[in-house]
Amino acid sequence: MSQIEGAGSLATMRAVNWHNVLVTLGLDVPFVITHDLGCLVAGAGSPSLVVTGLGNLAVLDAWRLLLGEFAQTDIVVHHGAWKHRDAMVGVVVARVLGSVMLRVPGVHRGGRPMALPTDALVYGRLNSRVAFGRYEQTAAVAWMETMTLHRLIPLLEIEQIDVDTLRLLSLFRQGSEGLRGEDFADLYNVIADVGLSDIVDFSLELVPSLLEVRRDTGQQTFGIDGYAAIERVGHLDSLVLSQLAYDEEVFLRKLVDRELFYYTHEKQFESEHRVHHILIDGSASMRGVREVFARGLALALCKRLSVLGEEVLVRFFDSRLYDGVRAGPMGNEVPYILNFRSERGRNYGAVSRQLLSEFTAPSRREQRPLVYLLTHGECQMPREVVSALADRAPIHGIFILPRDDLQLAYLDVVHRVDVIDEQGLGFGERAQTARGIIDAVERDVEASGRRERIRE
Amino acid sequence: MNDTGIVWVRAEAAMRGRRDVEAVEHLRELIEVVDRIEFEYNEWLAALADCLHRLGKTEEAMLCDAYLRRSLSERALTQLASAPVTTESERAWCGTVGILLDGGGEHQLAGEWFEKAGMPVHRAISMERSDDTAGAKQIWGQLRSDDRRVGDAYIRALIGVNYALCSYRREDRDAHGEIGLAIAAVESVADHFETEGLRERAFDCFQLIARVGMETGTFENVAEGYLNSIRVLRDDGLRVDALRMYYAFVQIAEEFEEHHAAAIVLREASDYCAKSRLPYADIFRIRAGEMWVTAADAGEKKGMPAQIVENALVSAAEAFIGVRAFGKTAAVYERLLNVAGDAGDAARYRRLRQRLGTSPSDELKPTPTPEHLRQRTEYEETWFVDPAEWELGGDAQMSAAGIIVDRRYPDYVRRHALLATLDLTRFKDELGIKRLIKRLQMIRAYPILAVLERLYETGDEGAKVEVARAVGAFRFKRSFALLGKMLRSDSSPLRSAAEGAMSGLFFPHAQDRLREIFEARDLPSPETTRSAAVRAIGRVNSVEAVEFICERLRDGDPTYVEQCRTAISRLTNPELAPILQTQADLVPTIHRAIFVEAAARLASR
Repeated sequence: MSQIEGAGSLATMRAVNWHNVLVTLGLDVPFVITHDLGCLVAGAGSPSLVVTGLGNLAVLDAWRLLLGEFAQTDIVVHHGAWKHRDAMVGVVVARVLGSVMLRVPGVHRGGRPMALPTDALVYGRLNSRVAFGRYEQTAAVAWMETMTLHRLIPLLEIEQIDVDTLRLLSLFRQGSEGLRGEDFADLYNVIADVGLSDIVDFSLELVPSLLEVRRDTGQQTFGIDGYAAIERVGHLDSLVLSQLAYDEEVFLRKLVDRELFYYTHEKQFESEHRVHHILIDGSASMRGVREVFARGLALALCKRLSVLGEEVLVRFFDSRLYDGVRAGPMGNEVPYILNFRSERGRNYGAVSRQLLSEFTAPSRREQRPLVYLLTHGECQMPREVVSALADRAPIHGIFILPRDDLQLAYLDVVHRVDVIDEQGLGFGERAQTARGIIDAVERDVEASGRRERIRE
Repeated sequence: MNDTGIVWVRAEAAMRGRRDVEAVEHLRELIEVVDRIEFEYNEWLAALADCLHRLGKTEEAMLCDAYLRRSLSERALTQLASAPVTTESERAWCGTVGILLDGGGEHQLAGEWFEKAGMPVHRAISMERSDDTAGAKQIWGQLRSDDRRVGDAYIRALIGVNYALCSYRREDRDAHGEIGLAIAAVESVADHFETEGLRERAFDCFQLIARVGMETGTFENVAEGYLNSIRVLRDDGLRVDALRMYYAFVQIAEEFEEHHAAAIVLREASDYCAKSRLPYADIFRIRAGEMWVTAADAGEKKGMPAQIVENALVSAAEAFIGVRAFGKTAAVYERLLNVAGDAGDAARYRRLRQRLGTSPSDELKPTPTPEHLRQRTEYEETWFVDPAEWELGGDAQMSAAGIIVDRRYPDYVRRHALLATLDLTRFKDELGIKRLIKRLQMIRAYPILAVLERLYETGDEGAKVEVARAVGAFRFKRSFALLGKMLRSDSSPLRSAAEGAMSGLFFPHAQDRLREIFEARDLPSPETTRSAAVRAIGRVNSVEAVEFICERLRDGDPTYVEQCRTAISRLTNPELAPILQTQADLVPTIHRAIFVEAAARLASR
């Protein structure tokens, strides 16, 4: 029944993973539908030119034509712009199919979704063109009929998915192993929410330029031309020459995804155990433009500090300081930052006291915390608590769109204060303002590293 | 009782014959008939006031005058210097006069009476109302630093807010810092209330934060106050109030030119309507789309990055598509063609526009929201009302006097309050606790709960039982605080009276309180108390209540099964029909028939 050409057994194997993502999200969809749509989204095949396979040919032909329309959509045309990890493809397919699910006849959508085995041997000899024909087809036919009858709904749905969001997620997430159900749900929410595009765009304005790694100023024990290893990070002048053989588009994607190889020197020092706490105000007071800037900047900060090899903890606060997530190769911080919704009022006094008690806990004394506070101009914290905090951790306050002059009792005890006014959010200014902040953070980190080495 | 016409004729005859004592007797009988039209009732009351004045019963006469909105200033001015304040009841009368004057708009004179009565909070409020900000600030300042007098953290926070706002109005140098401190205190109290499950009290705090935001022009505080208020209302199942609050917030956000926030909140309102089975999801979604377009316009005007404008328009398109408003979607895509910075994006928008056809129309005609939802509700001035209530300390006469002059209460409520104060003034300590509580019970207004709480704390066993019977007439969440104490008391008659009262407290936002009582593990007579809670929940007629009843049926505890079956068979809310159909398959088979029957009955309504 499949109307996709060029999809081999590898695509079938991947389709099993996509299907299992749908199962995790609670969607019961015939495998052939997931396979065909997923192959298009992942660029693993194209719609066949003529109807193929066994079954109701009119329905199959209509399905083929619909796949042809899907093939013209932004996300399929630019499939090279983002990384097609199975989790992401599965979530995209879930979003598109979820939009028509309620229109599928009840008997074909109420079933309990069943996961498929992922053992490659089971699928080794399958031919996707004919495999589906051996089984009961009514559910698949019903889905095809529904999707072709209400074609505008899935088409508009797939057009609504922001390729930039997928790009951002690809930039952060490396691999999809170990994802839990709630991670898929988080991903689904991110992809399904058009309202997040502002944050995503803002992050994308910043992130690519932040991926460039600056060499640390540590000393090395051998000659300048000596190389110690081949790594994924480095300057273009240290690029392994064979990498230049890639096509331009592939080369650029690999550059952005940090998949190129570079010769590297060995670093002399071991970095101290610093933990960067990025605290984002999640309260209702931030709703609107403040939220966009704070979350976009937080994403960029996470990425930059991670690239510099620092340990980063992203945390939201309202009346509590939440545990948050650690920024890392799994990119869990992206859906967390984009999806967090506060369900409480704010209580900044309690938040500052909670942070102080954490920093003074015996288990944390070995760490050197650094705090970034992304909030608004009315974030009132007790001066004495902030002062005690500032003694334990440098605090970098970023206050977004205060009413007029920022007047907070604790400003004189924080390490650095950045005020983002309307002008700072204007045309061409927003990214520059954010980059300025990130550069300042980076200088602080470098200076801190130098001080630490001198002390040693 | 005699026919009122005959009684009125007798009273008129007595008045014509200058037999005022007899006339007063007849007129007292007449004013007990509180359900009469305003004209007739006021005529009786005016006659009573005149007779009382002639008889020298000035205090009672002034109460009648206050109800009738007659000016009290002349009489109050002449009495001000001579009124004694040696006893507690004399001081209370001074306070009562102050309250009557304040309610009649005589704030300055009221302030002087409050000073005489030793009521600084009331005095500061009346000063604020008469624009004497400096005087008010001084009093709030004194109260703020008097920790011994003001022990309650919530009241201290409110006093702090009033002090800070006075500073702000006077443009004092330290105003901003004071407001910051005051808001932080309110936030802390709100957090405490939420943690304790006292959402309605947290709501008051959020309203206060919003009010400060409005007055000081800080949108962050407005958003904090309104959006958390909405959350509380949603959690309490007060759907209409939540929608009204959504509308109010959107209006204010527009005034602050925070279109982005307004659009997001409209979208939330749409989702909320869809989840709550309210018919306004589509109209809110369309409003969200329109607001995104306004946000794009504003972004262009302010020179915001092109991406922000483009994203706002994309969000608008998404909102319109959601309700199949394809005409509006097409217009947005046409605009996006000019805005798109990237050639690829422009091609995409062109393709999307083409998909919608040449002249797409808006398929849906969404249900408009009624006018009353779009009106901004003025909530209680908690920053004044709550400290004032704290200062009154549950005094029956002064609390009822406040109701007499508050025209927001319906006439019959004000009339009952008048009758109570007349009795208190006339009989003083001889009135008797039972009669007083009966009078108070009839008023059924929120401020009377504080009086009942005081009577409960200070009264003997008999008084406590009377309070327990009365509290069932007060359909407020606060009533459950008092009931909770009664249900845990050692006195069996008191517990029994409280259980009777609880059976009558069935309203949607009482659900979580009733459930808490049902689940409590420290009840001296758990079976009867839980049965009373189940009876009350069974009459709430909400989705959550039905789910609770079904849980009990699944538990199969024979104590409650019959009550639950009765509750299901007496449901009256047609919106519950689909829930009952679903639950029919999930409850034990023996109960299925009653669910199917109830679902069919409700569906046919």
